[in-house]
Amino acid sequence: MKYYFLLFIVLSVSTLFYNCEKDDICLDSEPKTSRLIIRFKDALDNTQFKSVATLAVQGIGNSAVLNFGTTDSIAIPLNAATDLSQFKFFKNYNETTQNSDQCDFSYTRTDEFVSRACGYRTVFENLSPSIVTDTDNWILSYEIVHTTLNNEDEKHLIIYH
Amino acid sequence: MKNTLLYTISIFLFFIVNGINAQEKNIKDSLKTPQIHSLRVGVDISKPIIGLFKTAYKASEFVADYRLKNNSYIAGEFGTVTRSFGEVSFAYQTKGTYYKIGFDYNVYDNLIGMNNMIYTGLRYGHSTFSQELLHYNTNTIGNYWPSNSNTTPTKYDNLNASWLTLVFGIKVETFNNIFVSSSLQLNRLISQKEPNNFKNLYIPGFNHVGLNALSASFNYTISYNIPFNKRTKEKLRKDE
Repeated sequence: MKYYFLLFIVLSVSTLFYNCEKDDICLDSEPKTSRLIIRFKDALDNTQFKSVATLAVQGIGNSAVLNFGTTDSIAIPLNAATDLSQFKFFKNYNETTQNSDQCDFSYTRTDEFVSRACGYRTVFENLSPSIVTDTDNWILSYEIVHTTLNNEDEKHLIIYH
Repeated sequence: MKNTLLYTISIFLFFIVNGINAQEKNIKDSLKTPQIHSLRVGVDISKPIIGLFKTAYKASEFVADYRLKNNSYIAGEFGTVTRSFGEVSFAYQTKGTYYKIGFDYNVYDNLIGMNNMIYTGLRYGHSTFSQELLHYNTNTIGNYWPSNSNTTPTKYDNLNASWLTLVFGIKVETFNNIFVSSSLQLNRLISQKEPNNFKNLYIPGFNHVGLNALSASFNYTISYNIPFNKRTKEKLRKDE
């Protein structure tokens, strides 16, 4: 009788242990390398969010264009392999009134261990943007909210236009 | 003729009765004899076999137990492990030694003269080891930029961990004093020294560190029983 009891314990406990092994999948809830969250505001009234018409962003040295449409909120990936990411911000992308402004982001990087399934992520620190001046900048100014990109819960940068 | 028959029958009866008596005496002797204290030493045979098929795995384990009372044993394991892992975005190697010490309790009622075991036990385990992070790529959302890969190995030395283990196993005497044993161990981590900016994902003797600091491991051993007990032998001599 007690052998059946023992067998029962062994089987039930081992089943329990096998069910516990769920750390092979990197869950969405686990921290990843954060993208840069930018909100756009009205340069005339800095309490108002203001959408950018047909906004597109392209990394310099990257052929892919990130099309965002008309929006006042975007998330763009920074280059985790270098300490500098350069972007072109297009307003009215692919239209006759297209206007592109170059914005450079410099930062320092720390690689942080997350878990077996998610591996390492990059935390960007000391974020410092700079807007390259051209003949007609549509980006007028900016405001840094967080210099450390730790998560995507909140905006890191506000751009006034 | 009649006398010869009676004589033959009585001789037969004598031998039969005598035989039964002798058997009874043997049974009484073995019942009287205190259970022999014994030391059993062995080696895990599953780990070298797995090592033949997995090049990234080198492990050995030695086991021993000492019978204290009828069903109670002091038991322990000692082992070394060198094992490499390739996860999705990083790879590492764990190297170290471990020991486990505790008790086994036999719950199996043996027939006279048999020494098989179905047992459960408890262990305290401790390991000292190093982790070497071989390379990694940082995890990003999407792949707009080329991934950031670091190929410079980082070694984390002087790490340690301790844990408690619940053991369930069987031991079967196959030949005289040669035992084959298999056991399942359920481990619960109690303390560990973790590397900076990395984790102990694998601990020698503890196995993969799962969620809630739990793990399961097994061993399959062959061991030799060294019977020794002065007291028992002296007692047998006195009985004679």
